[in-house]
Amino acid sequence: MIRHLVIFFSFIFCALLSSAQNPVYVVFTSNDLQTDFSTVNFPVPDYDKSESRDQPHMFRLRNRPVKFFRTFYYDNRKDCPDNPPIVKPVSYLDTVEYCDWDKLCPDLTLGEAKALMDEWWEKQVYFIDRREIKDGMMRMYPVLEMRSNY
Amino acid sequence: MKRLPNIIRLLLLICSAAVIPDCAKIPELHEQEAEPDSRVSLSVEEARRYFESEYRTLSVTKTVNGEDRVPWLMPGDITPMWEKAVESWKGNTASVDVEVIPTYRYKAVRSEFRNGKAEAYSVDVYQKLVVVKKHDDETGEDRMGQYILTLIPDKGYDRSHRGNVAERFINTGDKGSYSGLAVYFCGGLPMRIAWYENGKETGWISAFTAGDTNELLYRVSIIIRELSDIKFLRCLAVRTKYGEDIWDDWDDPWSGDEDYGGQLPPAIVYPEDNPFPGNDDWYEPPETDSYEEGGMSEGDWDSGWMLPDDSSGAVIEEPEVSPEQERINNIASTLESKISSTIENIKDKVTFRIGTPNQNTLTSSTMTMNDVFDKTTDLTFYIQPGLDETQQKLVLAHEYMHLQLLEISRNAGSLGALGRENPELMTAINTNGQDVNAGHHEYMGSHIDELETMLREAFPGESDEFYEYGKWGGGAFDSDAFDELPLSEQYKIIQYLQNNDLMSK
Repeated sequence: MIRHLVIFFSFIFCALLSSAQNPVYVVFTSNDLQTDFSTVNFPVPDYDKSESRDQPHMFRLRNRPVKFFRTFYYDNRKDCPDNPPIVKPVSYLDTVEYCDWDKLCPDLTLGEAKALMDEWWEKQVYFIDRREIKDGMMRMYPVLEMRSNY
Repeated sequence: MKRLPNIIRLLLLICSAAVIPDCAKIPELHEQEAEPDSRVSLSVEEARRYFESEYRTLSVTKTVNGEDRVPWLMPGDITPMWEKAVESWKGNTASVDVEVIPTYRYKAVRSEFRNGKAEAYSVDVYQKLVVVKKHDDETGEDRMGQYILTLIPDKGYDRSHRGNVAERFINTGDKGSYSGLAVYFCGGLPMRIAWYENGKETGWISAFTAGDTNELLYRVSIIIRELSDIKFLRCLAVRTKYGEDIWDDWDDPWSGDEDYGGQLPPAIVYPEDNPFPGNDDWYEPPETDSYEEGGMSEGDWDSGWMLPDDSSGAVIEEPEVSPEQERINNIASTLESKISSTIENIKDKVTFRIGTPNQNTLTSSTMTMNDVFDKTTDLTFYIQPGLDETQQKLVLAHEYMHLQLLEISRNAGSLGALGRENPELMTAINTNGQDVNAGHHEYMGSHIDELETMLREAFPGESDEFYEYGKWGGGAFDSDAFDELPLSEQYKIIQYLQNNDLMSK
């Protein structure tokens, strides 16, 4: 019986792994300080002001000791279907697999970080900033990585 | 075997239902193509008749001034194994792939950078005959041609796929998970080169669609240049006493084992400077109907020079002196004049051309690890067509800064020497996992003011944003130095690069 359960749960694990198109949820605590490991959530546009709706919303992941830096953006335009960002209860994170960047980032090597970014490149990535959680609700930003194209 | 409890069997069944649809979504390494729309067919028998009547056009050997020669990378006289021929078709093109018994075999020797030093490795080169028929929808006619398909696999593919790689690569059919180069030789010339990754074509350069002789020779020279960082060894093909090919018995000259089974040791072969040996007339457009013996006859130019898929067109789309190419040349000359003393050697080795092997970037180059420390190698940068002037200036300035850094490393000659002469640059390369491109970007970040100076001196009259924000393009923003800027400045720089389409999204 135990052996059968082991087989069953291994199968579940493989099923989750093989589902290559699942989105990626990345949770972090933004930090505007110039520390070695941080995620910067660029000044949040005030969504009540119409002019801020056309400014892309930037994020920057950083692991300075391994020289890892990546910039992401959320397309904050008026005609963007996710504008304003998706708002969901925090309990939604109990129903999905998410990546806790605060815990993951310091332990990454440069190669691991780059490989992770390549994996994210193929998927829809959502950023969630713990600092924006309010009254049990959180904002989810569908982001795209910005890379140099030359 | 004991039956599984029913509940476990039910749960496994449910899991299977959940997994299989996801597995079905994961693309195969080599996608199964939809049933081709066959408007043309080519049988082995027809291909054989064509080959036997047009054998001379393959130019697997040439007679020049009475002397038999084997053109560069040609297999010499071949014996097709028609019993193993494979028919395939795709769209308006049908092919017959034929394994051959060659006179010569080749190995490709490359180097890779590991643990701070260059290490050589070799892969077998695989060649076969491909006869092609193509249906012209406009004229309704069928045209035939044939070429020697030469496969040069990547090291990873070569190490994981033993046996005859050519059997798994079908011209208008399945390519399996092939990764490497595919070069099509026609008339003894490399007329097309294609790059493959996991069975998918990721780039190509073609001379088949050249408009005239000069353009054809120009494109052929580009293809030869693409292969210039590979050393090719040629050896007589060895067969067992049973007539079987020996694929695994080649004595690697790099291993120090010099037993070649009584054969002469492999010889390094190079492309001839004149692709038409003994026929200098062929650099001029032919003016008469007759041609010197040993060259190609007029009919060769009009015979079936065909591609697996001709409709995609050539990468190099512009003749050499197009207005866009002229602008690139002018920008390059301007930059070169401002930093000439820092690129004294490499400036004569580099060429900038419109056209790129990788359609997802604004520019790409032929740079390999060989080029980092070897000052004798040539470099070609391909600039994507259709860029505006701002993009061209910033892109080329960035590439010239790469050239400055390559000049430093090429003058040093090795990573160790670089460490003594410019430890900062060596550290930047090392801490980026020996990714030279990333290492250069890290270094550029710390020396970004030098790039700004270059921009201001080369292109006066541009906006402040061009100098102050544009200089961060090309990867320099993924650096410590960028990270130390005030957040408001970082934001403005990224916005500027994004607005000028200098970042991919």
